[in-house]
Amino acid sequence: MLCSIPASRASSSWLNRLRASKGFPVPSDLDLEQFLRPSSIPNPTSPPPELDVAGLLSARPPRSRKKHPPLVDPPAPGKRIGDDEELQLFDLMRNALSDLFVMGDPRDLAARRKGLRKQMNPRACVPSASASVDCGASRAALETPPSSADNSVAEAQKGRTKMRKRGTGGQAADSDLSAYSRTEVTVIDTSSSAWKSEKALYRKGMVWKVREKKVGNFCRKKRRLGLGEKIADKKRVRPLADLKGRDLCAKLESQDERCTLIDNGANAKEFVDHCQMPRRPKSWRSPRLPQKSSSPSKSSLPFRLQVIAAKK
Amino acid sequence: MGPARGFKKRRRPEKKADAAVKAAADLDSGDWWDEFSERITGPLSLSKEAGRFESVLKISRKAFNYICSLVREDLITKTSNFTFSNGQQMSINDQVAIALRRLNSGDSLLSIGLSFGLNHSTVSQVTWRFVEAIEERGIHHLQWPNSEQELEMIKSKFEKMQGLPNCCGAIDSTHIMMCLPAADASNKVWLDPEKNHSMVMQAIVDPNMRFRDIVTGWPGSMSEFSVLRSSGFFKLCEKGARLKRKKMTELGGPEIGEYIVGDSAFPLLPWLITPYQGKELSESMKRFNNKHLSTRMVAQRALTKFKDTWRILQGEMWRPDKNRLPRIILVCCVLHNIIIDMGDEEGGATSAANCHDMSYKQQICSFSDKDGVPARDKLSQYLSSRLPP
Repeated sequence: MLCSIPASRASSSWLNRLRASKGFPVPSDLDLEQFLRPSSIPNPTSPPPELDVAGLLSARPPRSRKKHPPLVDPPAPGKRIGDDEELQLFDLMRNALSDLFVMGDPRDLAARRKGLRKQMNPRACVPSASASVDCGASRAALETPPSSADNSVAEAQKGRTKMRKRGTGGQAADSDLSAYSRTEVTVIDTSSSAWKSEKALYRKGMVWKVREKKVGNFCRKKRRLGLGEKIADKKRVRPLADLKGRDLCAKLESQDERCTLIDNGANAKEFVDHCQMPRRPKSWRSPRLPQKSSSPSKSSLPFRLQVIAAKK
Repeated sequence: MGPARGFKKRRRPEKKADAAVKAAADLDSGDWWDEFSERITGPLSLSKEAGRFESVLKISRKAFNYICSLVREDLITKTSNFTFSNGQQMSINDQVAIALRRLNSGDSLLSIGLSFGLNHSTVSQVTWRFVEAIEERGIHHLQWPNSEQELEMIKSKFEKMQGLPNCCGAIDSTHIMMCLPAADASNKVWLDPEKNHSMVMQAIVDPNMRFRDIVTGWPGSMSEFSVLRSSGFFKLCEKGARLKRKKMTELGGPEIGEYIVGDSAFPLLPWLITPYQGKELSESMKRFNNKHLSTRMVAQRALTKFKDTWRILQGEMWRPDKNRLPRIILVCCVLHNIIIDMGDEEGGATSAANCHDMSYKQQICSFSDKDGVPARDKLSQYLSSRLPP
């Protein structure tokens, strides 16, 4: 375990600049930790200097999670009156820091280390995902059905739904959908390109939300087929082959939670082209690599060689 | 002796498939029904018309043979064989007959098993394989008209009924009831406004009572309007890809686009014409409503016939698999269309009441599109102008 190194030396210049910009005096003896903590408790397991800011942020008292606290808090019942000045200073400093960094939940340090590069809680204006479908709905509501075809909502939900673990099934981790009861349904719609689809239906009173259900085992049936059946399957004339391909594509698409149904034929064809079943398992290949076609393209070949060399 | 054992394993399915083909061919050559009807036991054998093909299977022999030809290939390629309790192997015709009986009688698996000398699980498996095969092979019997000529024929038939021009179909919804334990809170979503557990089925029907579009699988608590809104048909129509908006009916006449007719549970849209609502209606409005009702009655009749024929959907299934039920409904719709396509008058008894959702109140949707109101007025005006003096 690394011992704590005083942060004052490493970060004195930026701290001084910060204090100067906010109009505070710059005492020579005040440590950063002492400055931030009114009751300076020495922390023997403070993080290494390069993670100093993160450590300091995580060491804040729990009540400081509030993003924009009032500048002067009324003194708490058990609080000493003499500490008021320090508290004010602390709050001011915290505000200044919260302007620079996003102050999140300090509990998960590991997650914070990764998350520091980006804002973890971007303050984006997310449109309401609710789509009331009662009979008295307006024309605007009529034009934006509650189904997964609502791309704007789907996009807004994308970030959050990605966090859901695959196969959890029952509970919706979506914060917006937590108040909704979830039902999984298989819907047959002969006018839809994917005429058979699995959907997750969220209901709260008269408000319904429909999401495409993630299907992770869409090719399980294929794998289960025996050799004889595989041969017979290839020989068979399939009137529904096109439809099935679209269905598969829709499922693939739903895996990505894009939640868009294939509406026109052109799109469907495009998806079919991209959704060829892999002929052999490519377990060595990173799933993040782009799979442009079943045959190896010129551009992908050097990359594959690189991967093999790296494995050696 | 490893390789020899592996070889044996590989040979087995081929043998089975060969045997199934042989059995099917043998039975096709003779009169399969004579042998099959002799096998019927239990209450079914006591009925007067037990020996009559149509009374047991509720379809004509022609339609039956066609269905067998549709699914033969799929059922043969399945590796496992089904046998009767006496050990005799089931032919394709046997399998189709048992599945049809299961779907159209509404009897339990156990009861059908007893009637044909089968284990109830065999009845279940045979039925499900048949459902999968029809789903794969027969879906082309249920589709929206894909040529202008076909659509024109539909429109002219509708016009002959009550004079409604450019009408392309009649829409209606029905509830497929289920028995679900009320104690389970997750089943609440399946409770419809009449407090029954049900699944909604929406159908668009042509003048021949054939289904042209089906949406099913949504829970009973969902309103008919919501089901419509979430359908592919709605999206296509809103995009203008289906049901053209403006078309001249005749020289100098009002512009009336293509549309479907539906009852008051549906919204009034430029492409979905619903009746006038309210108590104080003018004479022309009342006349329009009567013609509208007579035209859309075809959908009610179709759904009534459908539920009368395929009684598995009427018999309040006990805790059905809600993922499988929509597929069973779809297959019953395909079979309904096949029966009509085969010119089959035997199939299904038509109820005099023409009511597919007994004890269900009419849902009312108050939504009217701003373009839908003039479309309905134009249609009403057109019909008034065509009245004989």
